[in-house]
Amino acid sequence: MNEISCRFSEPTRRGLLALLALAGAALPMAAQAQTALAPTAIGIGVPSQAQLGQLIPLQARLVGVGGVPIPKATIYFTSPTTFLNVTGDAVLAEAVTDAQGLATASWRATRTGGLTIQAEFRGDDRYAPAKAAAPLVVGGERQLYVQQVGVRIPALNTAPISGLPILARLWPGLSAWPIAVALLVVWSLYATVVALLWRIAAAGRSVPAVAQLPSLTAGTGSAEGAEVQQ
Amino acid sequence: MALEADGERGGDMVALKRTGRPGPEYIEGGWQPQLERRVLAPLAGTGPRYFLWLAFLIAVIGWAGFAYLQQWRRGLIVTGMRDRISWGLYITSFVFFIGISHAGTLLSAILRAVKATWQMSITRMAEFITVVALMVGALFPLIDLGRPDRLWNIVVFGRWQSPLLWDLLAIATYLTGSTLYLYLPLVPDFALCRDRLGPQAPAWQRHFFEIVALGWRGTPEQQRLLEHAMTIMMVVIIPVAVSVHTVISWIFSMSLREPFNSTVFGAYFVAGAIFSGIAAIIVLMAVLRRLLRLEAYITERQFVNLGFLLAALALIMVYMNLSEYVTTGYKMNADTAVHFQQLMLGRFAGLFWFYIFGGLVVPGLIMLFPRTRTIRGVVVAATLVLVAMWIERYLIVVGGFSVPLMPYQPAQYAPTWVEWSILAGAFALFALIISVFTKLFPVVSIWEVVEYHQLEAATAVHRPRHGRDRQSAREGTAAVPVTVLAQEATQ
Repeated sequence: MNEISCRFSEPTRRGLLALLALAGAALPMAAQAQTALAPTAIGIGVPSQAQLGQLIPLQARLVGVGGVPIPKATIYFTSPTTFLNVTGDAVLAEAVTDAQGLATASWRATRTGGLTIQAEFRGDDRYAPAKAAAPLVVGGERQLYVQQVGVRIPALNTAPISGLPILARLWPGLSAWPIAVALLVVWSLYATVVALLWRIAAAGRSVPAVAQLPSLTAGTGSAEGAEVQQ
Repeated sequence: MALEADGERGGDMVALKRTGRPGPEYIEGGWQPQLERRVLAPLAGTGPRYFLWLAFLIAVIGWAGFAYLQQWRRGLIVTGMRDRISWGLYITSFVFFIGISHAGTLLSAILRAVKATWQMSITRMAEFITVVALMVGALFPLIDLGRPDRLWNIVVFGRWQSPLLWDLLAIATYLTGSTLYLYLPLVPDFALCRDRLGPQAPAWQRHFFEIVALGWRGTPEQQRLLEHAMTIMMVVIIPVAVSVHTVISWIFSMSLREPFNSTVFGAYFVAGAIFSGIAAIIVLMAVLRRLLRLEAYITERQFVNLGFLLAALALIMVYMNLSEYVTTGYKMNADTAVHFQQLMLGRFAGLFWFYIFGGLVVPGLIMLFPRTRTIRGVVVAATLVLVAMWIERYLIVVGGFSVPLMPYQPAQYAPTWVEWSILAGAFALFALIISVFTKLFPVVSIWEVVEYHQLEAATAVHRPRHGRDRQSAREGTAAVPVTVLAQEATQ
């Protein structure tokens, strides 16, 4: 393998080392200059009460010095949560501020009780972070889990005509119609057979009764009968 | 005699000679009165051995009842089933009994539809197996519930989206249809019993046949109506029968368990049901043929033909197994690997390989060689198939549940004495109902056998091949259907 080597004269080497030392001293100063971020303020707007399962609008307004709106900043809406002994802020939604500094999102409340909703700007290379919080009480009781697995086929498992609330509400109960139709066809045929049996019985009534034929239990049948007894 | 002269029925005589007992041709009178006497004789007399047999069956059922009482009082804890393997012997037997119920009606309907006349003397037994197996099989989900009082919950809270509810509806529909299909061809034979059993028969028996014969006189109008009804049932019962076992397979394949995750389960279950059902018919035929001395009417021909069907179904089952195991084994995800390990090399290996070789390969080989293609050979093959198919259902149910859903050790399942006792009771109940049936109804459809003989005789008249056939034709035309006999008696 070829070695790449570079040789400098002693004066050049010293000059380079001095230059590196100067640069090293200057870098922390540059970093300090960047930490001088513009202060920000954030306001949060959420309703004070909501129902379980309700879609809740979340708003936050981010402004800089003098109330100047800060656009294109990412705002995180969070809520303090504890799960399996781990505590932290669960992110509910995130949105980017518009020209008025307004970030809008929505979140569906999935548990009841008193919650704290936070709007958080995590800062960037120009603006300092900011955070605001507001209380929210979620009440009510309803089943949130709705089975939505599979393909929705109109007239099979969803209403055949959309836009009719009554039909949409009734259809879950009517969706078994293929099974009902199959059963109806089969049981109708059974009923037809029973009706035919009825007609067989009716046709027999018009014919004179049969005279008694030789009995199995008399005559030669007796020996036979004894022979085949199990 | 017609039987002796019938060239195609040489096997009948062979069978008769093998038994060493005199057949109907040695009894006075023509073959038709002999057929009637032979088939109706069990209805006219009962020996002590029959009652001893009934007592034995009732004792076994009583013991099973005692075992079930333990389960009723203490719950399913008395069984080997626990949370990880919650289906065991009961569901295995449920699938098995519903399976053997298939061949009866389905086979009878298909063979009637294709006008296969050779099966005329066995259709009654086949149809009856269906009804009895359904009645016994339907008990197992109730037993498996542990709390049968909660059955009503299925009616009240049942969801149309659930295969369990589909299963309930399918079995109820199939049981009703099979009962109707069994009853229809019984009507002329009930009339025969009404007219033949005579005043010596008990009053209840005479009244019973009077009612169930529906005033059958064999008029052309009645025959037309009966034929119409049978055609309807013949057509409708085939899709209903197929749907029942398909739905049962969906109970498994629609659950989130890797061993049940199969698209061929419906066809696989239907094929397996027909396979085990044919085997059940063969075994029952052999038993009743010997006990009721029906050698002349249930001949080697019927056994061998059913044996061929059995062999064809064995090939289909081999194909299904191959298709299933090769596709899932090729992908071999983690759960499949556990399942295959248990099934083919682990704790189920003995049962699995018995099922493959004893249930699929050996019966096929028995039917392959003419030397073993005898009544005895077919019965041995059918018995092997019955045992193997019960094992196959056990492997599906218990083997399927033995694959852990989460990373824990595979659970173990060992049926307890309660489960074995209830299973024995179910088989005893099956035998008891069939035993009682042989004393209430003719086990051979007399009027259909008569018509079959007429048809064969008429064919022989038009196309005589040799002297024996001509003689057969003359005697065959002399034989008239029971219905005509009844009409003549009125004159």
